[in-house]
Amino acid sequence: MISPDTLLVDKPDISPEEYFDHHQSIFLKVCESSASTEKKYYRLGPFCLEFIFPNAHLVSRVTPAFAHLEITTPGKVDLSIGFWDSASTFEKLSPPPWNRAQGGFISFHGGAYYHKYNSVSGCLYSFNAKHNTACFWIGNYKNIPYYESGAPILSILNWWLKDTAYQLVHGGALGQASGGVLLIGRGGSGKSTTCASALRSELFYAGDDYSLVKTDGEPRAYGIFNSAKIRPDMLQHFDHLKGALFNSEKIPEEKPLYFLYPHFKERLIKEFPLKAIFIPQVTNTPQTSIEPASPADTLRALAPSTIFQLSGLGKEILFKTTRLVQSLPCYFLKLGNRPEEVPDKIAAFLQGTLS
Amino acid sequence: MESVLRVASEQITSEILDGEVMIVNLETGSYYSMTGPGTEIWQCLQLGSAPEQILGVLSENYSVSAEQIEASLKKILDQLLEEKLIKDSEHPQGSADLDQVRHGATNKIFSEPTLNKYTDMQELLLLDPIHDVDEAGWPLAKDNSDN
Repeated sequence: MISPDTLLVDKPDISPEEYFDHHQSIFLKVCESSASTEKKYYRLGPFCLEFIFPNAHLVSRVTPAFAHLEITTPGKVDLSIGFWDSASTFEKLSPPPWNRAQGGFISFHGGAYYHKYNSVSGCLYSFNAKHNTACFWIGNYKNIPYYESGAPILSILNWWLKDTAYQLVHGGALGQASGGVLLIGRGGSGKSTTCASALRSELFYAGDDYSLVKTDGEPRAYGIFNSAKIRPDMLQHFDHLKGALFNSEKIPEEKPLYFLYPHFKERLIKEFPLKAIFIPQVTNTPQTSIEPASPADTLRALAPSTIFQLSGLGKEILFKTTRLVQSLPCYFLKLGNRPEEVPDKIAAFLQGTLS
Repeated sequence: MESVLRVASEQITSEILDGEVMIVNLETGSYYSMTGPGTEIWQCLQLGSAPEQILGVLSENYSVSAEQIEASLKKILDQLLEEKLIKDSEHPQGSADLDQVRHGATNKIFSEPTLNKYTDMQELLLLDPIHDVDEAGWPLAKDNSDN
């Protein structure tokens, strides 16, 4: 077994900028030699994203999560990302000289240039903050793990939003056009189950695990991924989702992953003003209840899990999540053992009719 | 030239919310919280302060004996040093503007500052999935070895 530390290079002979240019030049070469290069565009809040694929192999593994945001007539592109792999393009990519290692991530950062390799998934993310361009690479498109398909390019989105008032957060979002709530907390806290339950309620679904939030002015939540994950032991409550299951052949090795678009497209919402932050907590009580939480409780539930899930820009994330928590009322959502009743409780809260 | 204590590195980041400071060690995954006098001590440390300066601020803010504050301060500074959240600095003492930490409300109740430590995020950083590198030098994960 190799320690990530042994891979680090003290004085690399290539800069992060040069490595980005190297990575991008190979991607462009691959596109030029392809007869099937494809571009897709997505509207994420106020932003327009451009995805470029040299062939179709990665399209079906990356784009389903964003399908609800696809647009056909893009305006100004705010972020352009090239997706490619070596197996289908027969083009190799040399690794960067790593200068930082943490957990399963090895990075090579400097100035406006970011590179991060997830040694669990085998995905490399490269980002140029000067031009808002990025490249995604994996050795073989067939090896993209299901969780990357469910929430692709988190690192690139996190870097890109660094100098904006927007922040990716580890949290789901439910609501209506007039307002909604952010549901935060680490895995297993009941976020995903609560969000999936909302598909049979009057609430709309913006995301179950990651959301984009605007942290200044009037806070808003934006749905990024239309994916949903359900704990295997909760599947009996979610028979209605069967048609949207993505990885049925790989359960139980993988957690069930659903794409809610197009099956539940009428239940998806792209954005809404945030009215509160909820911290779900699994309880053994029959009834679901909503109780006030302190800002500090809420920040502890939101900031560390976001910082370490996204693995980068911790200082900026802590600043922006603090600003978000300061601007919203916060509550514990004490989950009863009937998940189907939880969305009604949230809806009643939003309508001010909670008894 | 006296040494001062200050936040240990760029990997230590913090924010104050509602009188409570949250401190995150981005390197280890541990995070911490302190309230009341602990928050004020942290504010002094962010500015770079000698223990005597912090003692002076707390003595102005609270009407308890200097001995009681000094004992509490020593204890919490030792904990912060042990957690590598702060370090001794060679920089000259003297210019830290501690007025922003002085609230002058000496009737406030002094409570023993406590450093609460949370380690539930460390598992995300303890992954050690690199089992080999390929001929090009790419790290290979155990279950992803055909990249």
